[in-house]
Amino acid sequence: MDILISFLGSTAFAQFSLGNIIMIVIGCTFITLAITKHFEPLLLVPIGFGIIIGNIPSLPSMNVGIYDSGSVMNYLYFGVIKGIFPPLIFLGIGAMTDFSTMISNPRLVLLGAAAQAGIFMTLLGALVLGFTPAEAYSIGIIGGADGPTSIFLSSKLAPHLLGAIAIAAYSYMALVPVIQPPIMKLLTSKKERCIRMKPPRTVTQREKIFFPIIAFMVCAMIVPGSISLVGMLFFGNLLKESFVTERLAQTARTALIDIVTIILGVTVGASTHAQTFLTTQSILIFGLGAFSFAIATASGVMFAKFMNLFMKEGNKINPLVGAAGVSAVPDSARVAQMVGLENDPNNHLLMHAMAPNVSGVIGSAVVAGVLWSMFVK
Amino acid sequence: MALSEVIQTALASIDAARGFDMTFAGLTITFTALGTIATSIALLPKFLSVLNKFVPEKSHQVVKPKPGVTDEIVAAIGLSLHSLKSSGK
Repeated sequence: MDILISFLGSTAFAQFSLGNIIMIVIGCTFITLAITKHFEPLLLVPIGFGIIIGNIPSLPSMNVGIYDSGSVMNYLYFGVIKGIFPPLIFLGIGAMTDFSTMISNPRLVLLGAAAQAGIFMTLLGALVLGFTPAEAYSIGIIGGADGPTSIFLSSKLAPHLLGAIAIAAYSYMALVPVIQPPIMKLLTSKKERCIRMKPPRTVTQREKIFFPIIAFMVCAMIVPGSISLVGMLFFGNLLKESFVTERLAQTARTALIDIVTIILGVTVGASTHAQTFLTTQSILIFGLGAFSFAIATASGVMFAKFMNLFMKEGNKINPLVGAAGVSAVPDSARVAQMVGLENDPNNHLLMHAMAPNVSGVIGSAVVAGVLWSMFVK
Repeated sequence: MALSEVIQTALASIDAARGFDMTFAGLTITFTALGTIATSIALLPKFLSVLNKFVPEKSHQVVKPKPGVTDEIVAAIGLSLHSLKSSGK
């Protein structure tokens, strides 16, 4: 009988707290949203299940928790805390991204830079709310709308906030179709939303091969801190465009990125223990995350309008594509297309919006490098 | 606390961490990096037109099945070729 009682004491039921229940409900909500609403299912299902895993209490002596040294989950989490997984995901993104639309219309690259203003405004907001500079930099990067970049930077600067930052970044990425349209409509007139852009020109294969090498050199020379992210991004793209490494590109954009996403999603989810996650800081981070997405969207749209002041009629940019400067690929480009179609059913903006969208990926990686290098100086 | 005091405190917090300097420097560096990429891309066709005079670009054509050719037909052709090779003809 005493063995049975002792065993019951070791079960999760005996150690369950209200916080664990709340977190499990959050995990189930993520899974439900992914399955029923199709909100970023490839990310929210692993993260949601990870949250459930991380909130089943266990005895510390069992060594099964993600923070228990030597546990399986702890080994898997190693790739997150050491910043190994984000560059691997960037490799896959590079191998699946077609930069043609960006190469054909270089001015749209600047929209990707403008949308990064959300990162810096959030950084200021975080400083006002009392976060340390390292924490503020990590929180600000949520505005880049790039999960791997957020994880990369927070693992370097504020590992204790990694779970909250990653969850906020991925949650808001999933909510891009909800957050962006009202801001886009608020800041543009019907006439602006109906602007038709010239179709992109055909890009030669040689341009596509030269592009990743040149772009990497530029980024790495200006911001060496971004080497691991942009290096892998452009390396993956070169694998794709060179035509001679198709097998490697295929692996990078399918099996490799899938494996890394699974492990990253589950472990990030599992790192959200109720005791460390359900804090005032996390609530503030979520609030700042929403703010950063809004500012990033607004910055992209407003900068497109600003650029239009210098453009001739017939060569203007539809400001809706500016919102795609946040690097949630391809969701924010799809949102630009969707809002554009609402105003003119024959105006397809998707191809144009992909240019600032992929430039936003480069931009957020560059900003992560900037923030990291500023801090470690 | 009056609104002016709140604003002053907020500005002081930002200033203490050199937040404004960081924002200005960060945005400048980001625009410089992406602006340089944009300029490089814009100049790339001119550079390639010169390069193409000396080293003409080869066409990278991916062989795709003609429309109407289904997987079953491709499989049948493959099987026939395999049978022919196996029989030594």
